[in-house]
Amino acid sequence: MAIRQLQLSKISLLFEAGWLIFLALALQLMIAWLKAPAKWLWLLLLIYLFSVLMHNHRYYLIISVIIMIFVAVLLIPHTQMSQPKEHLIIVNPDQVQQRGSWYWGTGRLPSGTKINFSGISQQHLTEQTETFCLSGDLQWKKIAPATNKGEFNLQKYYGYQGIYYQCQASNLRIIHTNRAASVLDYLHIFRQKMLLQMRTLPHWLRVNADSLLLGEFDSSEKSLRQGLTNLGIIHIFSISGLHVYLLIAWLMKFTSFLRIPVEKVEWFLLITLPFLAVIAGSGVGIWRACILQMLIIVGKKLHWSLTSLDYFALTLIIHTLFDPLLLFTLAGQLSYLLSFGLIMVNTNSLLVQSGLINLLSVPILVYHNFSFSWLTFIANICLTPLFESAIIPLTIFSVILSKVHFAIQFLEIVFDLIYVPIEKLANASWTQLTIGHINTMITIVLVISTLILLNKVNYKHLFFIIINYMLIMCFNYFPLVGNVTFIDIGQGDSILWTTPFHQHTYLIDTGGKLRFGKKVKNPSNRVEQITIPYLRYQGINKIDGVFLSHQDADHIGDLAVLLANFPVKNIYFADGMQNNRAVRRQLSPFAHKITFHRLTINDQLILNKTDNIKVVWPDHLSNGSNEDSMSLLITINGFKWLFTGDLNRANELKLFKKSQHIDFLKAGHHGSKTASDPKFLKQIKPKLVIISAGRHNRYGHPHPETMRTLNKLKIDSVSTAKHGMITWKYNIWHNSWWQVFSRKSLNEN
Amino acid sequence: MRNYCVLCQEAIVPQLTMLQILGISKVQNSSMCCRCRQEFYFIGDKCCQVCGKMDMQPICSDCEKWQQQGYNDYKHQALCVYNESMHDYFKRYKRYGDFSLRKAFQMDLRKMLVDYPEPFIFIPSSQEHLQQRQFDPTVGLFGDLINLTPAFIKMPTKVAQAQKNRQQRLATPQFLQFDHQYNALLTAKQITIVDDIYTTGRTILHAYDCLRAAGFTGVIRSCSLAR
Repeated sequence: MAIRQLQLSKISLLFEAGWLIFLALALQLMIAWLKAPAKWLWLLLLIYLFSVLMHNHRYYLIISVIIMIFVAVLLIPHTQMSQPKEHLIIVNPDQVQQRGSWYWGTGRLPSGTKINFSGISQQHLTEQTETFCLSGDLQWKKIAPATNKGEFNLQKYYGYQGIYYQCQASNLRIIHTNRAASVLDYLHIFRQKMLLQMRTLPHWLRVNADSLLLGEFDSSEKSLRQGLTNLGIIHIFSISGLHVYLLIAWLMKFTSFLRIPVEKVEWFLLITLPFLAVIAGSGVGIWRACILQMLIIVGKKLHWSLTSLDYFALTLIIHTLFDPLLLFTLAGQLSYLLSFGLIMVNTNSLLVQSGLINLLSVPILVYHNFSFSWLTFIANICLTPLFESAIIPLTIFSVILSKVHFAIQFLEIVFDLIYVPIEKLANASWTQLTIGHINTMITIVLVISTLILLNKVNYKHLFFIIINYMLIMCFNYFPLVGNVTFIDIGQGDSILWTTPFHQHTYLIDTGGKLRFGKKVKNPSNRVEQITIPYLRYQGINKIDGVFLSHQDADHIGDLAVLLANFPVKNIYFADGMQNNRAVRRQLSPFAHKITFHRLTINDQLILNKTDNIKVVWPDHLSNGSNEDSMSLLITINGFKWLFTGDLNRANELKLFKKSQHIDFLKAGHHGSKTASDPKFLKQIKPKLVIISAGRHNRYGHPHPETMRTLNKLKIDSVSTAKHGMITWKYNIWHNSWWQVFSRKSLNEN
Repeated sequence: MRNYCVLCQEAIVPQLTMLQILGISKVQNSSMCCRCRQEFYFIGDKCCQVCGKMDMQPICSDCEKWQQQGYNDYKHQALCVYNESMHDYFKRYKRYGDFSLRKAFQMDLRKMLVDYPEPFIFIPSSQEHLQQRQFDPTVGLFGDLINLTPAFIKMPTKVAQAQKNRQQRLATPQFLQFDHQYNALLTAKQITIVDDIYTTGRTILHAYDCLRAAGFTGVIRSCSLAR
């Protein structure tokens, strides 16, 4: 005892066993305070952390918490990067993805800065086996931020990885191949060789080997990915690090069979685990598992007496040193939170444990996606053991046996049985329970209360958490305010109208991309990326009706995507449009589940005393052209709105015989000079004109001529190109106000 | 700052619970490490409602016999089961006289005693034993937690209770006497008797008889570390 007391130096008190979690928390809270929104929240939590330590008389720990705070300050980069001017990108061969002749991926500048690139190439960029240098007429651009509520923020997503710029080129070409410059390059080349090797495997085995062993989820496997997401087990592929544990367990068994001393195997693991992490795709979960295993080995060798919570904390601290913004990403949050939950969970029943761990993931998923798959509770219990005991071992087996044709064919049939049903679930949006948006504070409250539940299972507490979710849902499902939202879907129109309590939801046009030629196939789709997330954000489960103004792609191009992925009850269009080929092609697959309504002039939809929709154009059969745009006069809560699609000047003047006051006007044809006739504007005298146009669009919308007219008539205007999503909100007490996504102009790059 | 287990001298590393991390409940300075603690069996709800014997619901056979003899209104609570480890513990504590081991269960005993009002009377050890050990084991266990009143006088017996078999124990005649200088205690509503081990109940019930004989009419409860 006395000798021990002597050994006890003050330094060991700074890192007192059992308490390291406080150091990890302090580091994360400080980083959050420096980088995340809702700063006061993180500061309060940090102060509270100090008070907890004071309360427990852990004064030495307070010193080390302060050290952690300094570490956090040092870790966060302050310098703003300027736009690159280089014409050369260095790319590791495994970092390129392909669809047709369209390539994209991540590379680095000669200075070492990470960047994204995309473009067309005649060379097979995905089949290289050396690090190569790319060139072409690179157009540099800052990665664009999200401009809509609920939209996935690419700028932040890449920013967390240290990537701020992207370049596009129509003539990407390899100038020369580099010799590998670092160990990292060698590992990437090795990984690429493995990836190429996997291509000889049949379809499912390849998907398995790529995703589970190398952490590469092929972008063409969209329906499988969606199916896994709907099942709620996508994390097995991306965040769990499950196979690291399995591999180590097997290695230990195998070497003990060969009577190799455990100590030697541990040294071997200590050296090879970081390499394994890079080859396995450098995912958050992989790194977490590898760092943890390395720490456990080191701890064993140095006789540390740490709890599993301490090892968790140390893993998080070390991982954060390499990747400071780790916990800002969905994968990082889920990976660390769930492993924390597994340490904290306090129940003997595996079933209850699995359920609770899933419940813990719900707040994080809802915070990012506004919905979660309730199937996850069942799917995890059934499928996680299947992955652990069958799929991952069989995958490794298939890679070893890749030359034995017979065995491979048999395994392929087995996986066909598993994956084909999962793919069928790709469109199963019924598995998603929409909660709507929740803010950071509510997310933290939900996470903490679920953690307390994990630690002490108690049905009253579970009931409290469920009640909380229901309250949040009520709040999102039945809001007191109504919205008219001009969704910023780039060049095009898409306007959502929801009444208070979400009694009615209508969408006017869906937006879409104009395609010139078929060469460039950019796989992004605005309805999937912007409109549907926004609907989920608002807690909207179905759309009562979609109004189609006319046939152009920038108005109804993404209609089919919307109809396939979101429940829509009715579609309204001007009589005559059904004969249009473009419209028919979009609508015909959905004829059995959606009601189509042909509208003619003066048709009215009366929703209630204050809200109605009236068709004011066309006065003849529509052929779907701009001139025949279906124009709607909508009265919302006593305010008059006019939506004219792409209607031209001549027809604008035919809309109203006598003077008609309009409160708000959507500028015709995205502010083009072909619409917004001065005489027409004088006739309706709108208070505000809303322009829905894309940033830096190729037509120059809104045209200077239109802007001059508006100026001359002293009519205010606001544009989605400049401010992103624009929302008009009103409540049942006849108050109304405007909101824009960004007050600052978004036009400057 | 750092604590060492009184039983195995290993450093005690706390396993923080969620409530402790959140600062809702305080981290107790435990005196036993998790591994040693696991060796002991803490008595839960599933026990004899009268004496706390494990897995005997609602009343164990011992208590039934006592009740037949007219002891209807007393109740005992114990912290742990007298198992192999508890036997070893008492061996080290009482026979080898390791006074520092008194601290092993202090946190748990404190929690248990919260529900009991004063006064507390303990069963003293014999003069001979006291001479041998230089401390009273019961006072060691409970003395730092509650005010103990030495209101019982132990009269000399030929053989110590611990050295007898079951039948002999049960047949032991009264060996306690109430010290009448503490007559003031007898006006209390409830008296709690504390002892280190409850085996057959004989000792405690002698104490019970003693109190009743002295004219106490209130509630009598008793507590011990082991059962």
